Amino acid sequence: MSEPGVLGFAVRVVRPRLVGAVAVGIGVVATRLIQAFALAVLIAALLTGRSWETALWGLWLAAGMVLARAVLLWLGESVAQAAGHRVTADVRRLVLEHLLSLGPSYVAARQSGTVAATLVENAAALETAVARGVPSRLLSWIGPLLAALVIGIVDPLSAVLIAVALLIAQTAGPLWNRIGRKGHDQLFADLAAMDGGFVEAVQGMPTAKAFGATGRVRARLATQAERVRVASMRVLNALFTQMLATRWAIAGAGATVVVRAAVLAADGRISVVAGLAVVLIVLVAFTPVEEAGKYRHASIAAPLAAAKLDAFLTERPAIPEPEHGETPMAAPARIALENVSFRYPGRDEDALSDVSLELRTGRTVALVGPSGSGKSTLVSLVLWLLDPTSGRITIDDHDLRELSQDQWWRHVAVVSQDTHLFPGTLRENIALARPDAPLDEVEAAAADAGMSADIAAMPDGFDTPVSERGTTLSGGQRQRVAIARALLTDPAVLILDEATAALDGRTEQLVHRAIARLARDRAVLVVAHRMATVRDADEIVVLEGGTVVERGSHETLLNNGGTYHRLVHSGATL
Amino acid sequence: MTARTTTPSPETIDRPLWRLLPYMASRPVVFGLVICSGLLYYATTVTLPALTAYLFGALLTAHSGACGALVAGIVIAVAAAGLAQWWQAGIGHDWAYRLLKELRVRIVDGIARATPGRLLGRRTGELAEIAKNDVSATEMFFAHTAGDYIGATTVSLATLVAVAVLSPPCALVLAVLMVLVATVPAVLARRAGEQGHTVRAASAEVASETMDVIQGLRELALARRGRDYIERVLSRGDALGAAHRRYARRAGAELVTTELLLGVGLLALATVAGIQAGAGSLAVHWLPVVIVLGTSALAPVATVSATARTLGDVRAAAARVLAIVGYPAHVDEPATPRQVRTAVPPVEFDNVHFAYPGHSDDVLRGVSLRITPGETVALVGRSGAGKTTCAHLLLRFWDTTHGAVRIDGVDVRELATEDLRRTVSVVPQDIYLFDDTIADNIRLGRPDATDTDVEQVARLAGAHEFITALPEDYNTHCGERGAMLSGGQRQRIAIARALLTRAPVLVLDEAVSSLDTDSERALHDSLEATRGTRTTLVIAHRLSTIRRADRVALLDHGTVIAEGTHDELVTSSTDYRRMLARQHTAMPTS
Repeated sequence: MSEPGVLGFAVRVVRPRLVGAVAVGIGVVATRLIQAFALAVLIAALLTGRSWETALWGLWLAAGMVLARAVLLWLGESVAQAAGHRVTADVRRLVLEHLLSLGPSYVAARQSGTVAATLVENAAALETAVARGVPSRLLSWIGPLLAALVIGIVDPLSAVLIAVALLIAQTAGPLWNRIGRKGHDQLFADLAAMDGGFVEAVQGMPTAKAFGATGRVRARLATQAERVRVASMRVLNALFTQMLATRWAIAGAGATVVVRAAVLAADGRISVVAGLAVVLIVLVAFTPVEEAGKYRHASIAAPLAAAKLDAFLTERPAIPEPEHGETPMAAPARIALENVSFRYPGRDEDALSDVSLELRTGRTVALVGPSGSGKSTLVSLVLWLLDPTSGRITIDDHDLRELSQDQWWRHVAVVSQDTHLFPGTLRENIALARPDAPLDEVEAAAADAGMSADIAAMPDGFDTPVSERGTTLSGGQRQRVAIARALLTDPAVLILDEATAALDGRTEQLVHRAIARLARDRAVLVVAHRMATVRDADEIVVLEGGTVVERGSHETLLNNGGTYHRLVHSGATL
Repeated sequence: MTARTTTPSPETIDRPLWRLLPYMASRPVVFGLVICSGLLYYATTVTLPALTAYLFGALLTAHSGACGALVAGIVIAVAAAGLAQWWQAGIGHDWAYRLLKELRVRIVDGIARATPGRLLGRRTGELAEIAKNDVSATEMFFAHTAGDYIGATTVSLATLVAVAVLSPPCALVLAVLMVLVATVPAVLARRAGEQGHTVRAASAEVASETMDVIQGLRELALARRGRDYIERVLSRGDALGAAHRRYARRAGAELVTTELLLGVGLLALATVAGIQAGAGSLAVHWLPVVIVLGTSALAPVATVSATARTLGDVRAAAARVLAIVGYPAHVDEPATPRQVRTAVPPVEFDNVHFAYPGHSDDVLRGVSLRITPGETVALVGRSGAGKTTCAHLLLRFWDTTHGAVRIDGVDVRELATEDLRRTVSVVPQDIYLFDDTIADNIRLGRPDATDTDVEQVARLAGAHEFITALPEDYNTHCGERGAMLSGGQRQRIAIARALLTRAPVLVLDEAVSSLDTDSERALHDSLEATRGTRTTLVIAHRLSTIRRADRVALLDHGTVIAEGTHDELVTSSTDYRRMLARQHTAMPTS
């Protein structure tokens, strides 16, 4: 087994264990064969009217084999377990590390459920196929052939019959695999759709309920579940038909061999012991094939899962790491976008075109513009989650691409409208970028973000656990965690992406004071819809349709009577 | 969550597999056929070896009376063995997959009843895991347990009787062995359940932490903590591995014990049969038959025990599935529903108290508020004051603990849910767009609305322009959580969606928070134009929104502490002035 890709990788990491599992399996087959012979001796003595005592050694030998097999099975089980765990752990690590190298822009372009399925389920799908499937597939050949070999000593024709039955049983499987693969692809697609349906049912239910549309969610899921049922049955029916062929081959060969052995023994052409041994061996000869059948399902699913993983693993990061190593970088004082354009892959229009912008320590640049004007894209470019299609970004006159992302991210912090809280305590969440920050600094950052009162009201203060998507915290609280996070990082460049959208008046006031204090020694980029948050900016840049349509101070822009003037006078500001 | 409703949790579900039985009994004819197929299958597994063994014994001991008939019997038995297995597998699985579908739909019903609120205190990632994997785990029970158990038991007992006819002492040995093989897993079943639970919980944990890494990758990357969190997921994987190993060690021990019992049993049976044959109380040519029957009768029992070995997992999965399926509704349908008769009805909160189940603190402590027909009232107050809770009570996601919410004088508890949904529409704080076209998303509350209707409300909501700029305009798919759309665009779709229902009562929960000022003004203008055709409750932070309301109610600590027009409140209420003052010093108006 030296397959390329993740499946080959999985086999390689556990190869010694797989060899061990096969060795144990051969041992198990041997105990069965010897036990059959021992029993044959015992029964033959009775059938031929000899003394029971003369054959007692057969009983003891059989008992010894029973014990030996128990020990071997136990050993085999623990080897398989260890191998299985190792496969899952190593594949999971491989995949997660690759995800990290692909970075956030990879995830942003995809449904997170699909990405999660790739990472979790496809990795797990390899476990059984490799740890159990690979050794049992080998044993399903070795076991019956060993039995045929032993039977061949007595009657070569019976050995041939067994071998033929084995061939039929074994080729029915791969043949079916080729037919069944398409059905499997369909099943996987239907399962993925249903999984998506469940995620939607959970997340969208409040909305569906408010609009009396739970019936539609239900009907949709019922349709998806029905598709899964039909696809499952199509795959299974093919499998059952193959089982039928196998069963007939094995049972037919077995019955023929038994009748033949009986006739030969009755005619005296073989000894009664030999005849009985053949009968008893035939009963257990195909046990390894049945064992392998248990893992056939997993073995079919594995190449599909592996193909998905391989596709994922060959994805290349949107922003390649620079060749040279990590030189420490001083806090940047000037960040410039020079004629930057960006177009999302597969789109016909630039999301941003020819934008120039300068951020400087101690200055605040405000970005305003209607939704869809390119503000978020610009933020992604400054965060270096995207690379400009043309133009460049410079940091103190060096091209951003000369740095590594890690170096750059050390100096930027962002407070965005969509804050993710990670399971863990509040303190861990605030100290995300500085996990070793002392408690007093975390407290200070939280206080500056206006969280003191909220935290005092929490059952365990800073040790209060918060959860996925921050559901135990209100929108305002979540946003203040994000602000505290940024404050604690003490970044040279601070990006406030509609940072105050979810705060009520009292909290917003607290936050604004903290931000104003903080902005003094930083380069700040504010993206906001509210004029009040931008009027004190040193420069206001007005974006519309991906281009800069106006720039200047609040007063200048108001006097210009352009887009900014229109935006300001369109509604009362608060 | 146990204060008012006793919500089932997986731990409190008693005998979960037993509770799956009603699902199976729902299709009695199929259930009967599944059992028949199991009986036939197990019968062939005993008959075929017995026939060949008899033939063998008969030939060797020269009792070769009906040799031809025997061979014919063997040929038939071979054919039947294959067909019986094929039939059993086919019908059993088909049946099982139908039941799985049924369970999946019922899970969605359970989720619907439990919404909003954290379902079973679980994260969404975990819930989806239950719906997907735990339901699939019950397939094991449906497809391999019921038919198998009955078939295996019946055939084993019948074989025992056959052996008893041939040799009572052998039957006694066999009976003892059967009991032993059957009881080994049963003894360990309790631990199996606990371990199964641990395994499932650990695997759900891995899935949900992976989801966190994926969804929060930007934050993690910027904080340069990606590697740490990956290690965290992997360590969860280690915990899962440890749980798996414990589970496997016990399953392995069972496997070995069963194998030992079968092996020793065969030897014991051979010994007893040998002694009997030697003493002449068993005809020698029957000896192979007795031994083969004995081993064949033990095999089904062993199969059942093997299925039982995995039941621990299934039991834990079933408990979690049933906990969702049996989740009680927050609210009950009225027995004799009343109706809202006025075209534009008034809305009234009458001394409303509310505490979330399981929480002793009241979120609302006597809220009284009346919104006259056609009026727009802004509900203001700091975050956590109970504004969204008021909206949820009006939508009857929950029932008040004391007091009543009335529309047109009718308690919402007396309205049929369908009527209530027709009457009240909402633009919620958290907007969810379904993975569907934009048009279908707007149509959510009125699936039969025409394209013209949809376009009209989209224009009102200021959404038409950006929608027509999209590649497939109204037929553009929204994707997961509307990822391709900005916050403002999603909000405008949500507004269009709410307007399309033509509900006379509209709740806007911070509905303009993501809109730029241009869009906000446009929206207010269009709402203004249709003012008087609906009664509106606005939960607002922006002064621009508050000012446009007819009246303002200031909510603090669960009660309305001030009420009136903006101008009235500015003069009469210190609290209101303080609130505005805070906002004004923070953000001077232009």
